[in-house]
Amino acid sequence: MNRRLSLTTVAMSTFAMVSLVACGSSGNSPAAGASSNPCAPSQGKVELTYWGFGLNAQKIVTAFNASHPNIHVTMKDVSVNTVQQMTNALKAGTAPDVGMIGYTDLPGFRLINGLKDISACPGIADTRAKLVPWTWQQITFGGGGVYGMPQDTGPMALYYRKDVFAKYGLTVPKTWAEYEAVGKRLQAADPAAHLTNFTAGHSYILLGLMWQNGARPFEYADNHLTIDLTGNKARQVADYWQRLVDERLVTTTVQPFTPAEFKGMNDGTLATMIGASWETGVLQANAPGASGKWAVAPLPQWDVAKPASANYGGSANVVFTDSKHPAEAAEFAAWIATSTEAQKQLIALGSVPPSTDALALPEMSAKPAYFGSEPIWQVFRDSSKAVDTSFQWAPNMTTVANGVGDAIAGTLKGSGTLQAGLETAQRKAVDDLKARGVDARGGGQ
Amino acid sequence: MIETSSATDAEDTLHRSRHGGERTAAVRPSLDRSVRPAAEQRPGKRRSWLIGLGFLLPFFVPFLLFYVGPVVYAAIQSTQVTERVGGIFGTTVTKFGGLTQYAAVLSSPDFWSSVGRVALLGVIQVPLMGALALLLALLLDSPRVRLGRFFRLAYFLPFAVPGVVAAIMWGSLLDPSTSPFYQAGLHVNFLGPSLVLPSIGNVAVWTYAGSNAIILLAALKSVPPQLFEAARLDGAGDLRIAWSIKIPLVRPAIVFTAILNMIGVLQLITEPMIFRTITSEVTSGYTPNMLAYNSASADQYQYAAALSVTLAVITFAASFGFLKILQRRADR
Repeated sequence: MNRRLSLTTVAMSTFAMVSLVACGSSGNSPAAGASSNPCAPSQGKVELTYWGFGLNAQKIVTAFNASHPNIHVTMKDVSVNTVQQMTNALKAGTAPDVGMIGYTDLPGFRLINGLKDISACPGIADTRAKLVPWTWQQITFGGGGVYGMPQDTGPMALYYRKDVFAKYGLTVPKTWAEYEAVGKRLQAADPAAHLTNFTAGHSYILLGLMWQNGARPFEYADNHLTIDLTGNKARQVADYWQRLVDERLVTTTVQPFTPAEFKGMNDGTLATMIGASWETGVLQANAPGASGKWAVAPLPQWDVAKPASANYGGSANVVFTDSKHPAEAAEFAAWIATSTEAQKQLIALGSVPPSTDALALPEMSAKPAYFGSEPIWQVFRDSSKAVDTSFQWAPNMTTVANGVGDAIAGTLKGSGTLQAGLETAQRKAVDDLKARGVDARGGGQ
Repeated sequence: MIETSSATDAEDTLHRSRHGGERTAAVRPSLDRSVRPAAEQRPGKRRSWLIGLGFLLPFFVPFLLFYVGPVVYAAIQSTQVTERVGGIFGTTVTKFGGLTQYAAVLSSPDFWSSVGRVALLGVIQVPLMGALALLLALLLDSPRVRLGRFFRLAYFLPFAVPGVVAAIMWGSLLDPSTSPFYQAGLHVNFLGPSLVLPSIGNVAVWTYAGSNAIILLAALKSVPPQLFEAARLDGAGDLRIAWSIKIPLVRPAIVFTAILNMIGVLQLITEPMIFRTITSEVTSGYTPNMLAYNSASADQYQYAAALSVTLAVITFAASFGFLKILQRRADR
């Protein structure tokens, strides 16, 4: 049971990473065969197909079907190779009406013309007022089109072991400099303990921390795209982690979501974890022995005067291009984004809702015993508010994330600095996009 | 009725023979009995051919659909390039690009380092695995072995364990923070830069050595005992018999397993993919097949196709080269 939970969370985390795609006005997506209303409701009872994943996905579908007598949604679980399955289905013309896609992958699906613009569908324009601003940016790419509806989000925070901090007289770090100092004191007090883990599996954490620092790795202009993983703001983050690795304050052998990490979460050798809100679920499922010992604090800051945060995880529900019932498909997607029933199921898995109404649900004031009966959701709510809204993702995040992971691997091996590795990752990402016909440029050119 | 038909048949035959058929006019238009079976054979022949085809179909249809088809499709894809009109999110056009993708593959340092990695692994692993499998097979073939049937099954068992399960199990055994060896004081990081490749090779040996041994054992069982009875009477020991009689006789089977292992190493993917989740050492393009897999997941189908075709060509060349070298040695 626990294992299944953890694997699902892994799947969620792998595929559900968040972005703020604010594409420049390059999106010329002509509604093919545009009639007077490109999104008119269908007549009679409508059957929809939905590809989703996550522990409570089927419960959400069931609740929707119960409250919408004229629409019936059938779900297929696609927790494994989600992106691959959907990409292949789009190519083969067998894609479902609605699909659940991690925010990071949205631009990629738009690149292969897989997403329907649902801005003209009934009720979609009205959802804007109900959504957290940065999630609206995610699904609109900053333009006039709407390419999905947010489902869940994963604002980041610092998880720390209260017992370990008390034992060595450490205070919760408010800045990244303090965080490093905590690592040094911890290392001196107990060589077996580590500040946290940092491995090739942490590529999206690293990108998230660049986001927090205001970096702009992926910038869309009119008809071209710039990938800059090595700009000043990104570099500040890369150099910082390079230093933590060099000073041996972090363990580099403990990969995320492995038995080794769960062991570290349990026994306190990992004193802190930088993670998203859904990490609450990972901890409870895999480190039951540490109940009452973990606490949550805001991410350390570069500038305390201007608190900033980032997001790691979360997905949107999109309507695929070939859907015969875009109005009903969009209605289903919007219902998940804004309905209390659906959002309660997602909060239970550690999501922070994308809609302001759901943020006020009593579930968001819960004080889980596992986290010392503290109101931890307040931290995540504030984190969500502090997420910079202008961050964007590239349309080839698979390649980018592989490249960033390989860059970290090279650093840990000692075969070059993280900065040099990121330069290589940037070059590969640019080449990849060029090969797919996109005018991509590297930063600093 | 029959007579009429056979007469017509015979006439037919005659008719054909006049027009350059192979049969001479030896077949007279008579009711010669010898003609009749021949005449009736034709529909029968067709039927037996159809029956033969019927037996082949269950193999050939899936083979064409799921093997030849994708190979041809990949070959076609590998010669195409994508162009885009109308900005970043415009529409794409697929064009014939000749060898563009191949040029990209061959000029990619990642590709060559991944090929080098599996080649290095192969050079060490294929002989090692062959020797180990042969040793196990000879031991099982020895008349002195008790519980032969049990050991046969035990050797084969790892092959039946799914690769994913095996890799997770080995991962836990090798990961420093969960490894029992590490807890016992053996402070070696099996997943570190210097040992990760041998560790992956070790999992592969554990998986396949037993199944190779079973193939070799089958070959050994078919060696006629008379061949070494004489040797035994002349005073040859087990080792001598194994070396001078058994091994030369099962050489074809040894070559066969070696080629299988070579192909397996070049196509390595399952073990490194799982190891990637537990160690940073296994990068996204660690083996050629991982490179192709990751390119395909990143929607670079054409590049992935060119990678796969190149890998197939290298695999062919290596297998046939290996065979040629062996043949030359055998001819000497």
